[in-house]
Amino acid sequence: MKLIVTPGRLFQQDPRAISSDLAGLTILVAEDEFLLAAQIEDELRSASCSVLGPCTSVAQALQTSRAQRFDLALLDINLRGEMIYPVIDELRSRRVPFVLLSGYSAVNLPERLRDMPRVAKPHDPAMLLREMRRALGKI
Amino acid sequence: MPVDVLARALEPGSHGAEDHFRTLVDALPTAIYTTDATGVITYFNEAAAKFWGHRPEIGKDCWCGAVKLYWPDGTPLPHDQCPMAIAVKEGRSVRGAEAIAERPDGTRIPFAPHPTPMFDQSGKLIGAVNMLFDISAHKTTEAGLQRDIDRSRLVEGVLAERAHEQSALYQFTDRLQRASTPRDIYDAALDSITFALRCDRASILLFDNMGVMRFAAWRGLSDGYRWAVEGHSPWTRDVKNPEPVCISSLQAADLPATLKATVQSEGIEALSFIPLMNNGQLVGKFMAYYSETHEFAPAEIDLAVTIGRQLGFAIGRLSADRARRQAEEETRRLASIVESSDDAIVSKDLNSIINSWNHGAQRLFGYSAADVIGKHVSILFPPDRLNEEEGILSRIRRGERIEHYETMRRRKDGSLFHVSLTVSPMRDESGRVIGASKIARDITERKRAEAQRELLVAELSHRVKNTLATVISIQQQSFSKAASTEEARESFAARIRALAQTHGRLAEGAWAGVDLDTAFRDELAPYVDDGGNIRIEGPAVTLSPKGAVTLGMAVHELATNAAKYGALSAKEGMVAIDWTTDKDTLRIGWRERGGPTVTPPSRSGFGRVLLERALAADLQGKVSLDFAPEGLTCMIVLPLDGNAAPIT
Repeated sequence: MKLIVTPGRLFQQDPRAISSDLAGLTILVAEDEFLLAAQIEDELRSASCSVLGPCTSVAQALQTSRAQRFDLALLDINLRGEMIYPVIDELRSRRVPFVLLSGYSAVNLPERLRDMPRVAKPHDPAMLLREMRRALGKI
Repeated sequence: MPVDVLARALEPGSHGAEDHFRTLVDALPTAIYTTDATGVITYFNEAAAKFWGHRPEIGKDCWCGAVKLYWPDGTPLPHDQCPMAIAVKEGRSVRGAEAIAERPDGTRIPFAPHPTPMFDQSGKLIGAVNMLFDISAHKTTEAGLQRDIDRSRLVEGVLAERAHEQSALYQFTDRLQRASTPRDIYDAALDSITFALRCDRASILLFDNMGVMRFAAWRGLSDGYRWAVEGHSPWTRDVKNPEPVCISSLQAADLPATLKATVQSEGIEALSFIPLMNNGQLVGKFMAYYSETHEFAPAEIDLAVTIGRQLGFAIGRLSADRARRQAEEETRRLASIVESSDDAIVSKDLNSIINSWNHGAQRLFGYSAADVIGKHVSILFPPDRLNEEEGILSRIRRGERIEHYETMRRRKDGSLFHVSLTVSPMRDESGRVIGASKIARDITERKRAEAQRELLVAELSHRVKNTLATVISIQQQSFSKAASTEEARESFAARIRALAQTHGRLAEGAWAGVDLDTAFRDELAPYVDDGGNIRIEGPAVTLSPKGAVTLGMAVHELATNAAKYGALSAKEGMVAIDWTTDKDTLRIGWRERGGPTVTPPSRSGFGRVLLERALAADLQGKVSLDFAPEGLTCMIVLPLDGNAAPIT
């Protein structure tokens, strides 16, 4: 079989270049690890998004989600030992899209979370943006 | 109720000695009958029936079979005053009496009765035997009378002999029935042998496990004699119908000279060997010894064989009893093992009906035996596992064993628990599967431990992934905020080393935490000189794992900054670190002095971001940085809750 190599497609595209469709969106970030939150903030800003948070507790995430307008939420499943479920329930009822972030493998997640949009830690920035676009119905 | 052994011997179907006796008495031309100790007629021969002219009712009519009795002078004689009645009531023979018996047809026959009482071995009266001589024809002739008397004496002797033998047999049977030990049996047997066979010495020998005939019991034998003759047997063990062996006179016997000498030196002149059988097998013999020569009459040998048969049977019964007791003991022992087991041990039939239930089962399931025996095993199943039983049962029916089958079962209170089941088919004697025994072990603890281990592995994986995510973040921050790639590479590597060091400390303490003092000393160790350039002071405080990681990174940034640009970059520079705690707050001070003059940085590097924001975000801390010209001062205020705990 002859392999036809098209140079541009061999490499992963720069996430910043393909995420222009996310520009201007407001993203709520709930992540209690400062370094991870800082990195995600950097990535989101590079994609021209503005960031709400990062929220470091379930209570803060709930409060922020009610007080401010945003387009999508990035939620770490475990915030300082507390599960993010109340936030998920609320966002689902409000039909606000979200993407989960977790270091847990699928088998160790509660069953109801397994089918939700999710990005595993440590995350690939391009994958994160793609999941966000999928959650937003853009792909 | 006294038993007339004589009459018993005369019952149809008797064997051996009794047969001879019965034939003899039945055929005698003299009228003979017997009564028990209460006078009830127990036997009469044909001659007696002919004499009385009718047949009295055995077991009902008393004293005499004649319908009416008179004294010789014609006055009526009540039955209970007749000579036979006197013999029974007074326990003595009555001789020389005469009376008249009336037949149903009215004819009267004068007769001479010869009533003789009978006693058993212990001397107890058991009845009487009577002979009636018709004297109407011979009354006038002396010769006829004398003939009758002679005949009566002869019959009397035979009868007395038979009564003696039967009494011995009766006594023996009676004692055997009550015997509970081999000793009881041997004693009864030796008593009966010596009494019935009129010998003064006797012995019982049995095959031992090695098939050697050994003395079990004896009377009047010396140790030397027993030692010398033990093992001798006229029969092999597997012989089918061993015959008794009787030696009437040792002198005339064809025996090895040494054996003959041994027996003679014991003072034995005649002896008999009687086989003991049980279930058709030779088990031993008994011996009767006589000091004088002794003619063995057929009736005597028959009696000996009868005693031998009884004895063999009794020995067999006792060993069967012993075997049964041992089996029962074994069963009891097994039952107590089952009963005291911690595991639940339960049995059920092929319809899944519970038929045994031990203590462990009661403990495990909460049901008592009374609660569940007779019930279907499904009461132990959670509703969603009821279909398991059919599968288990079909395997049991095929004779399969089910090992360590892990499932859930339900307690009496409805709670569910994990069990490991081992189910084995139970079979009857023919090997047919008739049910199943089940051992159930509570494995809730093990399941809990497994779940905990899984949780731990998941948690570890979570932490590793978080840590790797942190590493990626540090890398990005290091490279995006550094002045040069070279500097970025160095600071990145140093940061990862610092992170690794904190993890190492956490691992040492099983992730319980790290001392604040240790966190500082680890980070500052590379810069310590001999002049006391670094002072660390504060009460003992333990940082939580998260507190240790975040604060560790912050201290790393402070230390590297001091070494690059601050107090630790100059020879005279000093860093003083101290902390205090109050109820809920930890206050840490970092003061640099003696370094180059400080100018506030123009931009916010990674270290500063980490200090100001990571401590705030991760630990809810507050950090203030004062870039005074004489040296940097950093004040960190952390809530104790969740981050650190003072050690008291």
